[in-house]
Amino acid sequence: MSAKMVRLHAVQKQYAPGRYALNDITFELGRGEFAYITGSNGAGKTTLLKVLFAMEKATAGTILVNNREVTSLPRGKVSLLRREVGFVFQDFKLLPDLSVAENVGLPLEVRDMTKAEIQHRVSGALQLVGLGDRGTDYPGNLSGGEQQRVAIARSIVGKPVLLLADEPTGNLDNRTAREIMSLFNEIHEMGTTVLIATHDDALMAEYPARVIELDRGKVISDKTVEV
Amino acid sequence: MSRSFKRITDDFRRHPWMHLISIITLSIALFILGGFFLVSRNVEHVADAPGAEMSGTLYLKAGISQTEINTLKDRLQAKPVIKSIAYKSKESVAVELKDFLSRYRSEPVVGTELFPDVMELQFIAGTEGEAIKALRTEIQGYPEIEEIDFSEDWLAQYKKFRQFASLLGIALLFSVVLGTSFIIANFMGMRHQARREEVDIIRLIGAQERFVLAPFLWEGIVEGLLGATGALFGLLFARSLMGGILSVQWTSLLGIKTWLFLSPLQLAFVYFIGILMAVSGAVVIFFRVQGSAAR
Repeated sequence: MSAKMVRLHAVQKQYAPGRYALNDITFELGRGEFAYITGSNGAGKTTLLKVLFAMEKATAGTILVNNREVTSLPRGKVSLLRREVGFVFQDFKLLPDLSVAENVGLPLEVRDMTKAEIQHRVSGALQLVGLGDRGTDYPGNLSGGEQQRVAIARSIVGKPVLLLADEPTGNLDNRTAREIMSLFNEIHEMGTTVLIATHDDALMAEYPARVIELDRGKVISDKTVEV
Repeated sequence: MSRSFKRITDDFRRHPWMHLISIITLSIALFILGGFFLVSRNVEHVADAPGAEMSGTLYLKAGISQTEINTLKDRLQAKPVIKSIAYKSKESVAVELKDFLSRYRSEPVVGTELFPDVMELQFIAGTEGEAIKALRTEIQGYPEIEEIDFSEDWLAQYKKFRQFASLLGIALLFSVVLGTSFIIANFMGMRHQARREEVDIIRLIGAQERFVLAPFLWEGIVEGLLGATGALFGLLFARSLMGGILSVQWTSLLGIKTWLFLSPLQLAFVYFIGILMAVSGAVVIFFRVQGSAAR
């Protein structure tokens, strides 16, 4: 097994002739690494995460996630990739009609796990994000920070090898954002590779890690910060 | 499966009107289909058992004597296909007609003096059309008989009509299935738009297509069952109407004494078509949104 969790080589994403969302992106991410993708609005951060998660297809180049070729992944296999990779969205993407526990357990349910196993793992994930006693609540009754915790619990309940997060603190106040970042750190310390798209310099300074900076779809710097 | 059912019940709660419209559309389509089965099943008796309900009329020549009438009656009674014979004088025919027409018009009925005496024949159950034709050939030379009306021509016409109606039924079946599937697909499409985000999220957390499709299929099955049940209640009501309001005229005219309901096979077919239509609608909309939802 390769020591690299993510390999991108000459990746392009073109929406229209001459309009590149990603242009010749090449970098690698080791197993267990923690990194940020940063850049101004429109730099290509979200598009990069989307091509890694097979939400969008790269126009050119190769992408390997956990040794799985993503660009040529057939539609039927996309679900398998998504079971290995967790994704945390800025807008949480929780189902309002499901309870917190049901939302968190959904990725396990689609894998046909038994009820007992789902309950056990959901309970563990909720404990980890500090919502062990909120399983029966509904997302509408939770604060933004709590909803993001639920989204994180849902993204890690399937024990992903890679966790992607798109501006996970973008909708949160500073204090809550710090709590969420420390949660990502905790998840990283448990061995999960974490890649977070953010433009919050203060948070990146507080939780230093490798920073890959994008500008108009190109990598303009890639700095590893020694902790 | 339990998750699928929870999603269905949630969706029924969230979009009750859209589901209701789908079910009503299905019910109407299945009512038309079931109505066709109902009528054809009952009318089939007339064609398939001609002797059972078929009767014939002999118009007698004017001025024949009672002795001639009795002789004719005896000769006819000896024919194996004839079950019973009823002689009616022109006076009694006129009284019957006046009585019948008085229910619908108040003016006096004129011209009844021109009526001939008649003999009404009832054929034995199961008598074939060919045997009736043979009887006509045999008795048409009898000196007491002016004209014969055995309705076998009508029966032949009726059988032709039945063949045509069967083809019409098949065409109706296809158009009902296609039309209703299309309508249901559109309603499901509207509902799908309303819960597209949910479907997208489920895809994003690693659900395979069968997991996404399952609630749509179950929804189709539930709607199909409810739609078919609604149609059957409508058909039961329609049958009671036929048995009641129409029994006096049409049922006696057609020789149908009891309006039967659909056979178990027809019932099963109505349910099958209902489910098929609703599930087809679900599958159509599922594939229609394939390209637009999250990859």
